[in-house]
Amino acid sequence: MYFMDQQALKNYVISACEINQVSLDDAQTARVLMHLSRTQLIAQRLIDYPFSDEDELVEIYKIVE
Amino acid sequence: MTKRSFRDSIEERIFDIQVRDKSVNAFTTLSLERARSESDELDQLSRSGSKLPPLAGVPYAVKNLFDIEGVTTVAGSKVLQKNLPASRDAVLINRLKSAGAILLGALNMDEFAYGFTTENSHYGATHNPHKIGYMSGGSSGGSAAAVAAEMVPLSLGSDTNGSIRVPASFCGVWGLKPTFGRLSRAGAYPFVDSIDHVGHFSKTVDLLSLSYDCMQGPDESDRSCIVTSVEPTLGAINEGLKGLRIGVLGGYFEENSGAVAKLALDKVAKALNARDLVTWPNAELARAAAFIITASEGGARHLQHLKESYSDLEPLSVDRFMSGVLQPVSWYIKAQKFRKIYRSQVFELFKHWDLLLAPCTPVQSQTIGSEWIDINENKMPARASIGILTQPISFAGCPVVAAPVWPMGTENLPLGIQLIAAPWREDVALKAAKYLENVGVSKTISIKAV
Repeated sequence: MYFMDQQALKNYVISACEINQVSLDDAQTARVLMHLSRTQLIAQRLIDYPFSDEDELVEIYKIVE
Repeated sequence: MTKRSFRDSIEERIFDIQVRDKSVNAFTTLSLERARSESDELDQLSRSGSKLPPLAGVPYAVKNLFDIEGVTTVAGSKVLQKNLPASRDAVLINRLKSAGAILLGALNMDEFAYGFTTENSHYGATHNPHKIGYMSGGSSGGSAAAVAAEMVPLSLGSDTNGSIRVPASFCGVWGLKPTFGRLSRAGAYPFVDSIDHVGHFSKTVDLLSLSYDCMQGPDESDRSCIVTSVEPTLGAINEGLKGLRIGVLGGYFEENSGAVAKLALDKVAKALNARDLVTWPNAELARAAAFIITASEGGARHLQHLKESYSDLEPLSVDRFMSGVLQPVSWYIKAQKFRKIYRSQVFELFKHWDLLLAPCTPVQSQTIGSEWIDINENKMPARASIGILTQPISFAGCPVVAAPVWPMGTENLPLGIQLIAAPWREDVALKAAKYLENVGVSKTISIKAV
């Protein structure tokens, strides 16, 4: 299981906010960082899930009647 | 004896709302002129001797994410206040109007439906009518509280992760979250396109069923609404439980239910003669996937608001929206892939069961402002954990009736039980609900004073 350290995650938050043109102050950045850290823990369960090649999102390719 | 006019009844209702809502804070908009006009139309119809529609004179109100013609749809926010008023009613409002129901206004909610408590910083918190100062639940808190406080017997809400079932549980009213794709969402401000459901609350099971029947039907304006016909439920609602295979969800659901929730579940399980413990597949992973999809889709939808008006957004949810924007797309795709597998697993389960039971909430309503809840001696963050038992169910799209139960007696707060049926089998959940109401195990109660 891989977890990005807090400084790396903070750097990511700052850069990604810039890409998305959202300006956050330090307190806002810290709160977003906290939420993203928690979500990273939650996401890890899905990242570790043994998906097969057939588990694609086929609904996207279905022709709408 | 002269029959009371619809207009007189609605005037009395308006008076009640104006008195009771001072302490509850369920309404954000009152549509008084519209209500008077709709009641006058019904009086005219009545005088002409014409047959009255099935919901003639039933007052109702809607979560303020539904479009009401002439009213700005705010979805619990401040930033949408500057939008133009809606040019037409949401489809469900249209259908209720055709059925003779009278619209009284719009109801409070968590901003953009991202919350389980209706602690709204812009419009104030909606209080639980059974105990002022306590949470109504959310995000459709105004809708549940308005019914519990007997301001209206019927209200509309929406449910992405539990937003009908949680407030129904806290406020002690009936709620129905139908199958994903059953009712039209057209004219309802979206939160999470791939999980949003619309549904309703009511004072009785008969009204829950009848109003559901009136709202059903295909709708070309909502591509998620995939039904092709109406499947009425009211006619068969009294058929009882014969032949129904009913189980109780154990494992994850048992571990995340507090003592009072277990007591409520036990009462319902006994009444329905449900003895077998059933394991719902991958509930914890489903909650994780629902959490990620909710944050991603919700964040993406509100990116422009985050760019332009961060400080005008709800402090309780704005940072979660932003975190959602920043989630790597691989997380979102894995969550959607998992959903497909998960739905197959859940549908398989319903080959063996017709109805499954679980509490709606791990605990009863908490004091407004509570940061933590205690579930079996585990301290958990309140706002996220209140939906721990609803999130996995809606992620599979199953229909659920939230049944109000008073596990510690009617002098104490209620706690709802989820009656979960297979996709497209709302009729089964409603039959069980009617049975529970008939035997007195599940019911709404009158509020003495609010």
